[in-house]
Amino acid sequence: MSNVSDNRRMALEIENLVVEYRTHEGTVHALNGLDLYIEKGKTLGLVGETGAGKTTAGLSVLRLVPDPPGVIVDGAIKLNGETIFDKTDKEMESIRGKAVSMIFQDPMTSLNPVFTVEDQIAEVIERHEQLTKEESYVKAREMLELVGIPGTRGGEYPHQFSGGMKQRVVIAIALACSPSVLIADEPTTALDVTIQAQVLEMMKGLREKYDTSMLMITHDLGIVAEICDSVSVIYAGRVIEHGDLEDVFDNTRHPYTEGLFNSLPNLQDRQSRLKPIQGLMPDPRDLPTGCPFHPRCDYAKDICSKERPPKTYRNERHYVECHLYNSENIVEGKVINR
Amino acid sequence: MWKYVIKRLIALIPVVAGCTFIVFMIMHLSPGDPATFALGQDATPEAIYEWREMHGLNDPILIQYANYIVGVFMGDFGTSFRNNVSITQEVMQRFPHTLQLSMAALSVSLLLAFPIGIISAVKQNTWIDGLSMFIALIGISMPVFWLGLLLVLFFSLQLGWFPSSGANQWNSVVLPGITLGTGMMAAMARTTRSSMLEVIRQDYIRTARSKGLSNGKVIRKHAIRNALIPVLTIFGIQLGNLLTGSVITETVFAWPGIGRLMIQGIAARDYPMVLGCMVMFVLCFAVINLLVDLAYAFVDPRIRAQYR
Repeated sequence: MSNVSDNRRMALEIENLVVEYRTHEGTVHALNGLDLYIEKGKTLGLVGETGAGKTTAGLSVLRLVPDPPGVIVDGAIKLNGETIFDKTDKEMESIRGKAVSMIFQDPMTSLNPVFTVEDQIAEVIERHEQLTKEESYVKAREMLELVGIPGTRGGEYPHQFSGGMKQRVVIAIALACSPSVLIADEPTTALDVTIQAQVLEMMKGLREKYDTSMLMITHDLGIVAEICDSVSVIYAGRVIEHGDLEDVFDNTRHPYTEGLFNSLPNLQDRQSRLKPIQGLMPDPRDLPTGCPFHPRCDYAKDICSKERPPKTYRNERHYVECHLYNSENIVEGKVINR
Repeated sequence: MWKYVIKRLIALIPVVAGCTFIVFMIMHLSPGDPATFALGQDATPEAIYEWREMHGLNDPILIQYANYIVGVFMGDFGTSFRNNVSITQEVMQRFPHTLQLSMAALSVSLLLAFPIGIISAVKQNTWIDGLSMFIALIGISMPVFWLGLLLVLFFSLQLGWFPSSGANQWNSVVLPGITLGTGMMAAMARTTRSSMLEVIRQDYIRTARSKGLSNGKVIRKHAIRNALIPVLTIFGIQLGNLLTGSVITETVFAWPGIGRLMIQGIAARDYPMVLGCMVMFVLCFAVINLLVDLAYAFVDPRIRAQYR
């Protein structure tokens, strides 16, 4: 993104974020200069494999990276134009759940088993809105209805709900105070495909209703196509390709993004073999030098193991970090054979 | 819920019968004749025979047991071999003392164990944590009688703050209470800590933080109740230890409770007295465990659902 100057249009800006987990076994380099930008009212998909740093990115925005062992080494995060690392703990508490909230990955464990679901929804409403206890419970039940659960079930405990319904409750908690930014950390990964579709539909509706900006963390390109306006592909804690949905999907440039698409089954040609990306994510305690993807890359050159590639822009928004491209060949592409 | 409680109370009958049977047999198998204890070494064989006949000790042992257990279920625990007082009366007279001592020990252990466990979990790997766990380790490792003697040595003999024995003064209960409560305190503190450590890493704690709750509120409201569940289990087991511990503690401090009564009974081969104390212990233990099981339901709605 080149035009960062217009701050007012940005709901969330993450610049050069570096987060490490310092453990006895070594330092885990979770994020290594992550850049993310979400415009107001838009949805950004953050796509990558397990361990790429997606969840850490989400937690950083809430300043909930577990510390210890997590340390934010460098970078800045601006939420609606305000730098959150300057906030005191108290100020941060008023931001969490109000200005920004997060839907967590696993609905089975994200709800407290000893409180009723309406307790858990009303809690966040009571915390942030000037309402009496009764009023916040009324609103909690309204939130339940909103996510498709009868309000009368509010007095039940999480163990009385199915996984899909628990995820709806988690979403209701996250949306209860209509946050301006919503971080959804693989909200549908733990759900059946049929429920997935329902939950996604619901989130789309709610996003429009509340004009929420959203960071959709996922490894599912199908979800990205369904719900996102732009995409950032993350690898080893860095965005290696970013652009609008069409840019990334139709004019894929980075070999890793290419590999992600090739890993999807082709429904038109069911005989064709999957072409998975060879190898595994590098160990984040011991990242390869240069481009972290080079050991797995079919197109790797000498320089790839030596220098980290700079951003090369295809248009105003779409960029890749890859040595295959320079300002001359990026527009045409055709370096990789899709 | 009530159905469950009644079921549990009915299950007590075989438990009491089984425990008394085992203790009854062990008492009768152990060397030493109560008649000799009662009449002295010089008693004539005739006198001894007569004494045994009077107390029904010449019957076959199973008949003796049957007589005893029938009496127990009809509320008659017999009379003491030593002074012919009613066992029920004696035990009931002593029981409040044991209860008082146990409550003191409980207060000591709970009032310290929870704060220590919770703080050391929240401040894991700091010096506070290290110190707390060091204290807990000492508390677990120290034998009750030794700790009792040390406390007497220091607080009674050196400083003269508390009486060293008996239950006549208002502050008599302090030293035995600490002695008895320390082991339980240490065990509970360690369990609370490990349980808290596990709970504060749970996803729902992160959810609570993401709602904007303060750290303190997250711990107080969301963590403690969940951490309590495994702690309750240990609590039930430790209460059992509290009862057995009271036998030793009461002896060390000459505390007029059931534990000491039982020891005196054993020494004099006073069978009905030992059995009477035993039954009281069994009942206490069973009721406590029932209460602990009911407390689970109070804390955890998932368990509550099972009791319906």
